[in-house]
Formats: sequence, structure tokens, C-alpha cells
Amino acid sequence: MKRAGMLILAAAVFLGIIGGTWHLWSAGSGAKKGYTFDLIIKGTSMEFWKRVNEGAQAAASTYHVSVTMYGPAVEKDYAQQAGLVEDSIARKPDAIILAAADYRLLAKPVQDAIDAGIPVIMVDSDVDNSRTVAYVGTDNEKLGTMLARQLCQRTDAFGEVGVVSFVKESYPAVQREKGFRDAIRSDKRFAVLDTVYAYSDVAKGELLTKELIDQHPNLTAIAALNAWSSEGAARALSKLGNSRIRLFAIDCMPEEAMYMEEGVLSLALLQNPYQMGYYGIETACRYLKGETVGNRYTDIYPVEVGTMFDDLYQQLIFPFDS
Amino acid sequence: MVLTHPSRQPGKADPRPKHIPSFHWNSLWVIMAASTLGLSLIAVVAITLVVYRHADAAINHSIEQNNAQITENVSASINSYIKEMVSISDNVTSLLGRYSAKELNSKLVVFLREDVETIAVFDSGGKPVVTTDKRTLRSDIEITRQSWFSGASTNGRRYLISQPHVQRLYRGEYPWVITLTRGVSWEEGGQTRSGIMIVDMNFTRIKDLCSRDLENDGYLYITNQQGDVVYHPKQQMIYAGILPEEITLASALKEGSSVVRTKDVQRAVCVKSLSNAAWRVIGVSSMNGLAAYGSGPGPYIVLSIVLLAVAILAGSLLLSREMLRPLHNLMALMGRMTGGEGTELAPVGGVYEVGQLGDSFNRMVARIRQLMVQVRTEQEQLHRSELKALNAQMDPHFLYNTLDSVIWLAESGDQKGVIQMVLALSKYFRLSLSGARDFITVEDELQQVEKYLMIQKMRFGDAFTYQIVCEPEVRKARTPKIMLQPIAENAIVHGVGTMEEGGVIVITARRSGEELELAVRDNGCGIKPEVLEHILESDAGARSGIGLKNVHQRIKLACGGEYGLKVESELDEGTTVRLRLPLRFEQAKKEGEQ
Repeated sequence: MKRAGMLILAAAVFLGIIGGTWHLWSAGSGAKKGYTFDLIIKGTSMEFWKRVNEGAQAAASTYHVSVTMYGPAVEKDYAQQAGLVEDSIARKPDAIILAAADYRLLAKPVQDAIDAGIPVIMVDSDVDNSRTVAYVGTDNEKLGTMLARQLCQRTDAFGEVGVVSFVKESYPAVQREKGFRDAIRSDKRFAVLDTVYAYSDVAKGELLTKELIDQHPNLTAIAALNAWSSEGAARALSKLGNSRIRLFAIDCMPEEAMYMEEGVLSLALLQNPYQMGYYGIETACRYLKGETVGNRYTDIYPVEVGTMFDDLYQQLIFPFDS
Repeated sequence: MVLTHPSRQPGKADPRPKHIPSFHWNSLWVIMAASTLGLSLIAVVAITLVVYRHADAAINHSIEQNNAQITENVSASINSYIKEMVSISDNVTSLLGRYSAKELNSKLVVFLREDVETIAVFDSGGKPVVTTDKRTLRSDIEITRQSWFSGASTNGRRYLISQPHVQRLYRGEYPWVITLTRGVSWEEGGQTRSGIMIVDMNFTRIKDLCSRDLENDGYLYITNQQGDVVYHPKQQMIYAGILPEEITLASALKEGSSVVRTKDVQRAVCVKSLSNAAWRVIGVSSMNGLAAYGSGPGPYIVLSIVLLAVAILAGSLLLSREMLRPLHNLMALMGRMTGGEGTELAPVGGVYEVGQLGDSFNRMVARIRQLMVQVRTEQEQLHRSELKALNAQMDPHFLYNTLDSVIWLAESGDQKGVIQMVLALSKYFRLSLSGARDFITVEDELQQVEKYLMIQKMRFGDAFTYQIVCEPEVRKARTPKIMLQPIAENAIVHGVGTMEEGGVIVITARRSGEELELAVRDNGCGIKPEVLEHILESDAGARSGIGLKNVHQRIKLACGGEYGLKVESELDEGTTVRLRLPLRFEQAKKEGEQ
């Protein structure tokens, strides 16, 4: 029927118009989901975490989301973090990106967040909860293994090896130590001493290192498992003027760079906190979009005195803003 | 909106006239409204798109201009900044000749500013000759092996600007600087010595200049002439291997402003080379046009189009209803007329087409009326001729019999009887003919049947008696003529005629409610029930009862279907035939006279 045809045509035109306007609409605003994420880290005033936040903010502008950083001012106040996670749950963000200061202590707040329907993405430090979305950060066990291998390669003297770790219950500390001990066990030249914990406190690290050196005359090398432990250890070694004991560190801050230039610090393994922040947000976005996401390991770079001023490494050691 | 195939709805068949027709998908109203809406929406969307594109292009143009402007400004700032540094180095160079190194140290303090990290002169062996501050230079680094030293030109007129790098001249300090180096020579102890002068500029200053926010996710970055990144606000991303795309963006571009299109965005890119350093400042802004404003104009446009659509829909519904009002009025009038009300349409004014339609309809209705009258007349004429034919069918039948009787009486010499019979016959025919009238009074009808009975009684040798009773009230009532005679004839032939004697025929005329009832009763042999059952059916076939059927049909034709005969009979008891007729007086008389 002619008339029916006309009506169908009219309907088609109408639908076309609606479709067209819808297209306009989505062209204007479709890309912007406007997710809000809470990034909870271990120390807002600290360079490493500032860098994580920079990466997160870069990802936020790429994916058009908003990311706010929360955390205790310094890493040694890690006990505050559980409360910060609970505060975050009350804000109902679309996702929480968390660097857990304590493997077990944060398990309950994380579970609370998950129970509240907030996905949790772990960066840098994992938590004792299998229901988090993913882990984004350094493969800490591998980091420990690499540290052990470098130590074995670069230390000629036989003797004892001290380990200065940071927070005893923190997952990266556990993993790094595990990787380190597993790798060094095969090398019979070394006997690894009991681990000491500096709790991300430089002064405590210095003190513990001093004690180690005093108590173990056969000490040939020290492995410091994070930035503050290694800074404390380097200070102690530098003050003692002890050039016999070699120091191998994870992370390198400007002060350690000085020690590295002076030969106190033999080698540092650099992590890429910027990648952690960036990929953490990216993982959260992709998860919310319904994609399958998995753990993502960020880069590790071994740096020594000869390479520390290379373009990439000087950026990692001496950030523009400091 | 889902349109189904337009189907006739049950209401459509309803012939009742309606002023406002119920809703139909295929009504002119809907079609007009839909097409108006469709056309207006197409127009609105088309205009919107055109305007949108235009505004988009205009905004993109202004973004591009803005981008170029800022890039220009920033590169000018960097240029003048570097120029300041160069002039510092010039001043230091000129001072070098006049003062000794020791004197110079105190003089150089005036050149120190917050953004100048170090001013120093090294001799060709890398030994510091002049330094600006109290901080002691590190002794553990080999100055000659630093890239800024080894790459420097000893030609005093040329200066070099290094890449940003971490300077490590002082213990524990690692500032990001750009190092300006130039060859210098000075007199010392009668000897001409040459060396390298450095001015370390804190990179923060240039970084801050480049951090000026451009609109629309815009940013500035600096490359050297080879395209290597000197500074990029997302340098970290580059080192993290995340953002490779835009780094190569400008390397191939010529000086000036251009538009670069990547897979999902187009960007305004402005490249400006510095005159004082081998650098290119590159400004990048996304050209997302109107979408740059908040969440984009989409919601507003869609909202306004939807509102417009609603307004247009309402407007077009009202407008088309207004336009179709004369037509709807006409429809309603036509409906009423086809329903039987009214005789003619009032002239439908206003719209020409509708007026014409109304006129045509009027003409058509008039014609139909005319035809209807014609048909009715023809029908009546047909009835009348049929009636006449029935009358005529009756007459000869009786005439022959009577004439036979007259002959028989004459032969038997009964003169008196002959006279009596002929008189009765003559009276009978006068009443029968009674002009051309079909209707006569009950009185006349009874008189006629009496004459008939009189004749028949003589013929049958007084084998029966008859009696005629008439209520005075109905005497002047109208009845079709020759109704009773055929029935009386039947009563004689099939009833009392077969009896030796004692037959009685009673004819009555009376009022029964609003009807006139004529009855003929005999006490003859009666009718068999099986015959009685079909006696009035027109195709009963048998000759018997032909008179009854005639009368029955004539009554129906003349007075209407609800009237007619009713026959009651019982074997050996007798038969009663009742004629039910409308009780009519004056009016019937008139009709009958027509």
C-alpha cells in the first residue's frame, strides 16, 4: 500500500534523525566516562609516590578520569593507611588503586571495599586478598633475585651478607627477601644473616647497618631492600669509611646517587613508579570497561656509577621537580 | 515510534456520524502531521549540522591561532632568556681581560641570580679558574670528560647550549640545568690562556615557560634540530615507553602552524625554531572544536532538537487539524446524511476544494433522492398492475358460472329468478368495478358479497343460508375491494356447497384492537389439516385455494406484510377465514381515491 510505504519512509527518516542526533551526542560526550578513582599510597611527600601519582595523573588525562591521591605523609606512618582505605570506601569511588603498606593489616579494609562493590587494584605492594582485580608493579621476587645475582657477580670476597629490609609484614619486603634468599642460596661463598627491618626509617636503617657491621666482622656485602633502607645503610657505610663492604640497593634517591658516585653504593635496581601509576589507572579503566585484566609487571633497571647519568636513569633518579 | 501496517479498525465500519474522527494511522491528519514533522526535523537537523560544522571550524581555527600565538610567545621568552644568558657570558668574557681571576670572583657575584646555577671558567685542562660561589667544586670528577666540556667550542664567538642534564659540580647536589658553553681567552701573567666558560641555567625556568597551559589539552615541548626531545611535559611517559605517538609528530613538520590528523584526533601543531639555540619549540593543541567546551555541545543540541521536535509535532498536529477541519465537518455531515438525517448539506464554505466536494456531494445526494422517488413510483405502479391483474383473474371465473345459472334459470322459465339474478349480478359488478378505485368501504364490500351470496344461493337452490353482521363502527372503514367474495366462493364450493342442506355462511365485520377484522365462517366439511397447513403458501401448486392465496397476497401488497389471512378449520365442523386489515378511514379514502 502506497500510504503504508510513505509512513514507513517517514518513520525511517525520523529514526535516521534520532540516530544522527544521537551520534552527535555521543561524539560530544560519549568518550567521557567520568570515573573517579582513589589512589592510596604509602607516603604523599615522598618522591617515589609523587612519581606514582604523576603516572596516575597522566593516565587520568589519557582516559578522562579523575584520580585523587591519598596516603600518610611519610611511609613510616603506614599504620594510618587502613583508616584511609575505610575513608575512601565512604567516598564510593569507582575504583581504589592501593599500594598496601602491610600485607595483612590492609586485608580487611580491602575486603570491605570489595564488599562495598568497589574494585581494588593493587600497585607496588600487594595485599593478602585474592579478590583484588590485579597487581600492577614490580615483580618483587624477581627484583630480589636480580639483586642477589648482581651481588654474587660483583662481590669477590667470601663472607656474610646482611639484609636490611623495611616493613616486616609488607608483601614486597617478603617477596624481595624470598627472591633474594632463594637466588643466593646456590652460591656457597655467602652466608646470609638474619634480616633486619628498618621500617622505612633512614635513621633506623643507619643504626641497624652499624650494628650489623659491628657484630659481623666477616660481613662482605649488604643488600638493602628499599630506598630508605639503602640510604640508611649507605650513610652508615659512608660514615664508617668502610670501603670493603659492598652495598647493593633497591631504588635510588639523589642522596644515594651521591653515595654511588663516591663508590659506597655499588649497584641500585631502579623501579619505574611512573609506570605503576599509569598502568594502575589504565588497568582500572579497562576493568571497568569489562575487559579482562591481569597482573602487570613494571620495568626494572640495574644502575651503577657508569650509567647513572644516562638519559633514562637520570630522569628516574633525579626527577625534574626535586 | 513504531508504525504498524495501517489497518482498518473496527470503529471504521461504524456508520455513525462523528464530528471528530477517531484516530487512524492512515488518516490524512496523521500523514500531514508526520510529514510536516519529518520535513521540519530534516530542516532543523540539516541547519544544526551546518551551523555546528561552521562553529566547529571557527573554533578549531581559533584554537590553531591561539596555539601558534602561545608557541610564538613561549619561544620568544625562551629566546630572550637565552639571550640574557649569552649577554651574561659576554659580560664575563669582557671582564676576564681586565681583572685577575681573584678579582673576578667577587665581580661575578652581580651576575648571579636565582635561575643561574653556576658561572665558571675552566682552563683547557679542566681546572677551575673562576667560580661564582663559595661552594667548592667537586674534585672527584673529571671536568674534561663531561659532555658539555668536551663538546664545547674554543672559538670565543660561538656558544653552545646543551641538552638539559643533571649537573654534578657540587657534592650532593644534582640540579637540572642547561649549560651554555663558550671558548674564552684571557691574559694572565703576560700569557694568553684559553679555556671554557660555562653558564648553568636552572632548567626550571624553561620548564615553567613551557608549562604554560595551552587550551584543549595542549602542551609545549622542545626538541633539538635532530628531533630528539629536549623537554617534554610528559617526558616520564616517554621514558616509561607509554606515549610514542606525539614525539615523532613534529619532527617532520616545517616551521609554522599546521594541522596533524591522527586516527582519532586532529591537532594544531606549531613549530617555532629558536634563534639563540638549536631548538624547536613545538606547541600542540587538540582541535576538538565545540566539543572542547565542557562535555561538548551534544546534549544541548540533542535537547533542543528533541524540544523542537515536540513543538513541531504539537504544532503540526494542531495546524493540520485546523486545515482539515472543513473536511472533517464535511465528513460529519455526510455521515449524518448517510445515516438518514438531514436532506441537504449546508454549503461548506472556506476552503475551495472542500466546497467543491460538498457541492458534488449535494448534487449526488439530490440525484440519489430523485432515483429513489422514481424507484418507489415504479414499484407502486408495479403493485397496482399486479393488483389489477388479480382482480381481472377473478372476474371471468364468476361471470361464466353466473351466466350459466342465468341460462339455466331462463331455460327453466323462472323469469322472476332470472330478473333477480341479473339484478344482483348487475349490482355486484357495479360494486366490483366501482370506478378504478382499489379501496372501498366495508359497507360496499359487504353489499357486494351479499349480492354474490344471493346469486350463489339461487344457483345452489337454497342449499345454504347466509348471514352478514357488521359493527356500525367499521361500516365506513376502508378495505381493498373484492376481498370477501373469493372467500365466500371458497366457503360455498369447498364448504357448504357439498352439503344437501343446512349450510350456513356467516360473514362478520368488526374492530379488533386497531385492526379491522372481516371473517367468513361456514359449517361445511372443513379442510384437512395437511392441506390447511400449506393453504396460504404461494407455491402450493394445487388449484384449490387459489382464491385464498390471491386475497392473502393482495392484502399484503395493498396494506403491508403484517396483514393477511388466517384460516382455522376443523373437519366436519367448518372453517373460519379471518381477514386482518388496517383500520383506516379518511386517509385510506384519500389514498384509495388517488
